[in-house]
Amino acid sequence: MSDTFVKISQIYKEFKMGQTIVRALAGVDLELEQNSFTVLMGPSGSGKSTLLYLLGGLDRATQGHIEVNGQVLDELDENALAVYRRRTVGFIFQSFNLIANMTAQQNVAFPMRFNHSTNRLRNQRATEVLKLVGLEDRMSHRPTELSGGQQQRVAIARALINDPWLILADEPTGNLDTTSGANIMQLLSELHRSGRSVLVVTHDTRMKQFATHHLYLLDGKIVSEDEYNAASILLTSRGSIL
Amino acid sequence: MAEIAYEAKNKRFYFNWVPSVLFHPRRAFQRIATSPSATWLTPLLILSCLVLINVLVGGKLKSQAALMSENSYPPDFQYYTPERQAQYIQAIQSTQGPVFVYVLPAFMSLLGVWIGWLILSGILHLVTTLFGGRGSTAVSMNIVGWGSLPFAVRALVQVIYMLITSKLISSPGLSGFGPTGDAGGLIFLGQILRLIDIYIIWQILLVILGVRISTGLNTTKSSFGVILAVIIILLLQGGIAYLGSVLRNLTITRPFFF
Repeated sequence: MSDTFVKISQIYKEFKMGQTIVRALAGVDLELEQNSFTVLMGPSGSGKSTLLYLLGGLDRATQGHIEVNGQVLDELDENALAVYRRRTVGFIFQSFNLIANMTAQQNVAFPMRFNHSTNRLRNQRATEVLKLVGLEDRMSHRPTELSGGQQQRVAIARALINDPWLILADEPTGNLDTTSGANIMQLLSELHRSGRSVLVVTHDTRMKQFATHHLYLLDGKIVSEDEYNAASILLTSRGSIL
Repeated sequence: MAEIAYEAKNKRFYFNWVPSVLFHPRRAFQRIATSPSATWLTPLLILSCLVLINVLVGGKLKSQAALMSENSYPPDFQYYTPERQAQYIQAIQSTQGPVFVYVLPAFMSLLGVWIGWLILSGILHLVTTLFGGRGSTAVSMNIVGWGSLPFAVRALVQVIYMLITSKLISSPGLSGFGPTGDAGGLIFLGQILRLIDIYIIWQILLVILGVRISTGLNTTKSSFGVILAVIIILLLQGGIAYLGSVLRNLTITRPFFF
C-alpha cells in the first residue's frame, strides 16, 4: 500500500442545540491510505456524516486536526477551504443535491464555473465525465426527467468534474432501489480502481465487498468490528434500527 | 427671426429639428437659444421612448437568460441542501417577474431622464448666472433637453446591439476599464465610470455651444460652467446608482451547507 493520504487526529465535534451541547464526534483518530476504498458504517446518530462533512471541508471541527494530502484543514481560511473543496474533494450526497432548473450537463459543469474556465471547456469536460458514468444520452435532461439512479450518476459526474483525489459519499445508495444501488457501488469501485481514494458512509452492507478497508463508528468513536457487531446485536434485540 | 418666433409659438413638437441638432449643432442651437417658448418636450419624448425600448429589449434578454439558468448562483451551491437550493432559486425567481424586469427599470429610467434633465437645467442656470450669464431658466431647459439627444442615440445603439447579438450590455461606458471590487469606493467609482462615454462628451459639447449662444458667456466660462454642472449630476447619479447596487446585493454570502 502507498502513503497516508488522510490523517485525522483526536477530532471532536460538538453542536449546541438550545441549552444542550451534543457531542457528535468524541476523539476520532483515523488514517486513510492513498487509493483506498473505505467503507464507514455506524448506526444513525453515530457521527458518520459529521465526520464526512469535516473531511470534505464543509464544516470545522471543535477540536483536533485533519490533514488531507498535506493540507491541514483547520489552518485554512474560508477562501482556502473553498479551493480545497473545489480541487481536492468530490462530494456525493444521499439526496443528490442537483440544481433543479439546470440540465445534467449544466449541473455537472457547475463546480467549474468558479475556476475561471471558458464555457466551451466546461461543457467539454462535463460531456467527458457524463460519458464516464454512462449518461451521454441524458445531458440535456433536467433532474426531474431522470431516475434516482441516473440522478446519482449525474451527482457522481459532478463530483468528478475537477478531477479530485478524494471522493466522499454520504449514503450514496440510500435513496435508490437495489439495482440502481448496485450500479452506483460498481461505479464507485471503478473510481477507486482508476486511482482515487474513496470514503463511503453507508448502512448498505453490500458495499463492504468493494472496500479495501472497513471502519465502524459508535457514539462518535471508531470501534472494532467485534465491538460494532456486539452493539448491533444489543440494539437489534432492543428494537433499534441500525 | 419673426418666422422662427411664429413657428415656435404655434408648434408643440419640433421633430424636424432633430437632424439639425445632431449634424448641424451650431445652426440648431442658434434657433433653440432664441426660441421664445418651451421646445424641450420633443427631445425628452424621443429620449423617453428610446429608453423604454431599451428596457423592453434588455428585459426580454434578462428573462431569456433566467430561463436558460444563467442566474448567478453562489460558489459551492451544490453543497446546499435541496431545501435551501429551492429557497434560493425561489428568491431569485421572485425578482424575475415583469415588475422587476420591466416596470421598475422603466420607471427608474424615465425618472433618470426627466429628473436628470430638470436638475441639470437648474444647476446649469445657477452656475451660468453666477458666472455672469444672461440666460433664462426656460432657455436652460431647452438647451439641456436638446443637448441630451446624444443619449437617445446611445439608447438606439444599445438596442441595435442587443437585438443583433442577443446579449445584455454588462459593462457600459468606461466601467470595463475601472478596478472592480466590493468596497464602497470601488462600487461608486464603477457606477460613475458606467456613465462616462462618448455620448456624454457629445452632450457636454452641445450644451457648451447652447450656453455660449444663449448667455453670451465666453467659451472658457461656458465650458467650465457646463462641466461643473455635469460633474455634480454625475456624482448624484453615481451615488444613487451605488445605493441601488448596494441594496440589490443585500444577499447572504455565508453558505449554509446543511
